[in-house]
Amino acid sequence: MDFLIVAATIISRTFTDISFKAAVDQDYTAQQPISILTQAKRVICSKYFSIGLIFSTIHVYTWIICLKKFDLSFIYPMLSVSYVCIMITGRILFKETLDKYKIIGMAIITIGSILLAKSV
Amino acid sequence: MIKKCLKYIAPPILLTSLGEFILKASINSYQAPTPSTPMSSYLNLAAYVFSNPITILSLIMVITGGILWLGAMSKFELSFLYPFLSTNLMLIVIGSHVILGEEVNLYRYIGVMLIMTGLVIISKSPYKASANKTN
Repeated sequence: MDFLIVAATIISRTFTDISFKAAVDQDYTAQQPISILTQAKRVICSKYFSIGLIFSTIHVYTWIICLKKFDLSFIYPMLSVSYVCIMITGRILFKETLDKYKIIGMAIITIGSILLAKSV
Repeated sequence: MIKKCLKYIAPPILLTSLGEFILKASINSYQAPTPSTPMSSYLNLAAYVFSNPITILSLIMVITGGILWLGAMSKFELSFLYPFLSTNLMLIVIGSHVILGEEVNLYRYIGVMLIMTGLVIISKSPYKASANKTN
């Protein structure tokens, strides 16, 4: 149960960021320059923006449960695992590049979060 | 340069950490009304968080911090900005020991330091989003 709620928090945060990125990215296909207001309207009206809002609502609920169950000094750093998840998902969905700095950083964050998990 | 950092980077970091401390402190002091099933006690907790002025204020602080962080992103290079995420982690861990009285053991300190190191290494990546807009 503990593991599941932490996983749900990390995954909901990952997909919040991924959906908002997808909503913002849509605009790059625009040919002619458009005003900032039109741009904001397009982002807010895109379906990815609504998906992001749903995920962020889930994230707030799971985060509140996490705060009830765990120490803040444990759960706040633990959410850094979402950076690793975001980079991997960004690689799969947006074909973003993973260079050696990112891979080494991801490995160190993973080792750090394993130590964090041992600290409970 | 220091003035610019204080103006754009310090407010989001302080707002986010302070908001999290207030949220955690008020959730700690929350007492479930009656012994009930886990699911309904979590729904009660969520109802408490969204109806209490202090927790609403702390949520607003965290969200405002996030928006100000986006503002900072437009003023500085990402590679300069990312190590400041580690400052946030350090503030939260030290603050939860000092303010909230949590016990932080050696494993936790080493784990947090490793995560901070990882974030700094990621920020050294030479890859820029704008340089790779082929699709």
